[in-house]
Amino acid sequence: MKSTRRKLLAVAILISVALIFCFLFFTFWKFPQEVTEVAVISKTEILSKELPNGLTIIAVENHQVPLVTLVMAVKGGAQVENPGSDGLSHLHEHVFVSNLANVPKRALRGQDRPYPILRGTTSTEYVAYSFTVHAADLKAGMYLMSFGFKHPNLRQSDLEKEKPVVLAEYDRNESEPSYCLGKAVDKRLWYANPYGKDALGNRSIIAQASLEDLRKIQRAYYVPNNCALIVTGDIEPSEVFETAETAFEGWNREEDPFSRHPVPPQLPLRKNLSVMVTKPVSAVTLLIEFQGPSTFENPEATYAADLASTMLNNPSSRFQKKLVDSGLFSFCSMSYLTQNHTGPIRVLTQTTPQKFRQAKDALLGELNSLADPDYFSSEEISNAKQQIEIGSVWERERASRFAQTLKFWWCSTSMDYYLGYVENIKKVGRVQLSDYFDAYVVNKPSVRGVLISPEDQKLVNLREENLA
Amino acid sequence: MNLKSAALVLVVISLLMPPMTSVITAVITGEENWESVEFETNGLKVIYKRSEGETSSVALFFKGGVRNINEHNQGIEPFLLTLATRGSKNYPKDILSSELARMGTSIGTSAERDYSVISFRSIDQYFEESWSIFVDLILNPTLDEGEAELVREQLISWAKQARDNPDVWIWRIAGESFFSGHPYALEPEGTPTSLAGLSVQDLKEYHQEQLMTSKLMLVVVGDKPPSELKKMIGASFGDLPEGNYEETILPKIKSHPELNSEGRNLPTNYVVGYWTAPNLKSEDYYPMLVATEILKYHFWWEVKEEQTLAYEVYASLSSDSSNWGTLYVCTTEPNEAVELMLREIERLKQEEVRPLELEYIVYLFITDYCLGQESAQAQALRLGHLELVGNGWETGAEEIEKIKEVTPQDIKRVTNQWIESISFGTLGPKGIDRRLFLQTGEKAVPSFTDWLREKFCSAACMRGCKLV
Repeated sequence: MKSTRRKLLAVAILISVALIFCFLFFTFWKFPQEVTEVAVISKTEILSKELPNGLTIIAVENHQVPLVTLVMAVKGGAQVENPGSDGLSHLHEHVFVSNLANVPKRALRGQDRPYPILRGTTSTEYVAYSFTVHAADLKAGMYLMSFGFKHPNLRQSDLEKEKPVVLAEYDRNESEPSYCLGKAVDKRLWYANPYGKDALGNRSIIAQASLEDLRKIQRAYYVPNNCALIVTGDIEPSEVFETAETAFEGWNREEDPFSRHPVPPQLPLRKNLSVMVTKPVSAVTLLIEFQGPSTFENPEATYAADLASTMLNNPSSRFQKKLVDSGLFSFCSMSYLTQNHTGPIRVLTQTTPQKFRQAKDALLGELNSLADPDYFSSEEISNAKQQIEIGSVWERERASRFAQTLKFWWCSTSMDYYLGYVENIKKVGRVQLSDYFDAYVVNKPSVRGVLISPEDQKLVNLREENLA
Repeated sequence: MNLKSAALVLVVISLLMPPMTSVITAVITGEENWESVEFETNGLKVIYKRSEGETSSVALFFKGGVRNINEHNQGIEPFLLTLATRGSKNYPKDILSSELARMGTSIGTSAERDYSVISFRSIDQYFEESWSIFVDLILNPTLDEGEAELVREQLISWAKQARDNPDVWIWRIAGESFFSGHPYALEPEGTPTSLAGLSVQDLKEYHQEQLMTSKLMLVVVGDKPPSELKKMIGASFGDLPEGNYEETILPKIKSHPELNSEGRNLPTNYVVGYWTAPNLKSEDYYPMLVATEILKYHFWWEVKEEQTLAYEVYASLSSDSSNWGTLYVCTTEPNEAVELMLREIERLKQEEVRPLELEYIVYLFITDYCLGQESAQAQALRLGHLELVGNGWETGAEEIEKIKEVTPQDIKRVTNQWIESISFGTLGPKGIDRRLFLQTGEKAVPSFTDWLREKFCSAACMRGCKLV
């Protein structure tokens, strides 16, 4: 009996000690933090499916707000233009938005009418149509989009109406000095095929365009196997895929437009070119552009390009210290635009007329040292990789914006490229960085453009030939 | 103590301890209910909103805006805050930028007419580390002389460049006459002259003057439990003096017909018109917001769609404490475009809008409202704005209802009451019809009912949703 009591007492002590231990453990013990790579990977899932007609459907759930954004991305834009069609992809986009706005109510198959703000965008490698509706209007939005693409109704009246609007857009852009500098530099960088890199195009081609010109674009590129519908927001992906299958049924696959009309290559720049744009401006802007890599030909270099730009733009980088902290430039940034067909590497800077020459020489010297194996520290490389990885969380935070991000990557690369992007960035090391700079920047021909006021130009006696 | 006594003590201790599961449940249950709360720590008002995303944002508001400055120290707040983000006692510049890159955290500042803000956004994993940096930048900024000169040069360069871009400068031209004599005539971002005259000593003294909790307000959007947040805020800002800052009420802006024109050789012309508008505290604010949205739609329809006079045309309503509305058009035909816009304003004064049109505006408002809630940072800035300029952060939850309550009679009333006269600014090559812009002529007003019948049949409403 006594031993049973002792045993019970011992058990009670053990349980009490265990309870106290548990309390203390859970109260004061801090769990070790999760490793970075697990924690920073966004929880967002990107699901995609190809319909039998070749149309890609991409769905991303994000229930932060009760909205749905739909973006129809079409591979095309300036890249498919030639001297006779320079600017017509953009004009077509304007007229096609009218077509979407004119979709009849019957097309909505009994759904309530949504009130979308339709937006069209034309860039170098895509044209896109997008709108955001309330989550309850997902189906109506899908039917609207599908009807507009399956039964395009390009009207002469819309063409006549949109021509002056597009020309007004042209005027507005040409009123901005920085746009004029960018256009002048691009024209020289893409000297062999400037039409393929200028979405706004040529005024007289736009003014003279016929409806048949636009229909040619429609027939060639607005086919399901050249398009992706991206749907993000407060959705159930299964509903998106099911509705898409019904909505886009009857829109037939056609020959791949890029097999029939391959994009002409951009010829390499053989020598340095320079251009001076004089406008009434207060600072001196120096824009240097190089022909960069293509995802089509050299995807590895595109990852190195993005990692390098991230590091160079960091305020504590050697690049910023030498060029900005030294007082030579008020700002200096380097970027690469990922493109399927030769993306530009841009170095955009600003300084004063008095500092211009010294600043330009320092910049050129620094650009030529970027391939040095020890230019970047290991910490810089590691931090920039993490910065890019966390950047993907920011990209996904806003569902409406993320739809636009996916559109860009789908058109200029592929979903596989985008999904593997962070992992491929992590693989970039010093060798790949040096290779990238050696191949595209160090002692490579570039176009150097300067935006300066006529007064400052006289003051410092600056001529185009001084820029070479 | 024998075994029996020891067991008894342990059992009593363990039984007195609240069971672990119930402690955790209680905490979670309690804080799940805290979706949005307000509390005060050492006189510092804190607004907290729970967000279940992967990101957090914190914004510290410095109250006052233009109330704190004069002609000589315009720009002192952005100068101080920008400089503060360049390094602090515990985070010198190099360490700071390296840490921010590693965590993917970004710190930003802005200077508005009614307040200035310093904010950060981070992924949840790095919230505490980001908070430490943020606090150190605010409390212990380095305010280094050399760095100050770099920041000064950049701010002066940007201030000068406002003139370079016509799309920016037109707002200054129009605002010059509209804000004349009002505190809003001061530039929160500073002028080249005022920025040049500010010394580092001025910045240090100003910094000390701002650090009192009655002058600050903190907004946090994230998933940190409020109890933990309170401890962090107390530890960081608990030693600051409370002070006795009270915000003065600014006078209403007196609107009168004015025309301030600047000729410039550009491909197009820019027009901005200002009118006095009710502020967020006024019962007329939401009816005015709807009226402005309707004007925006009418301007777009008449000027862009029907007459194809412009690429960009709109009306907008600000939400500052002394508030205003604006109209904007970029056109080669400013006289014709403005005549149409003034006619639409007169229409809105004379005729009531149809319910269908209201339904459309409410739909768009809900869409825009939700888009503004997509990111933690946008939510933080909006909550702070409503608290400082409106009737409190809680009113954010009522905004959609307030829009839904607006009636056609309200719209007609506020348009008549508030859009009495418009103060214009123009920039461009075209001759301006002063009689028209000074609103002295007779106005021919076609029947609003006829216009609606023609333009606003059900089918056309969707067409009207186009914006390119």
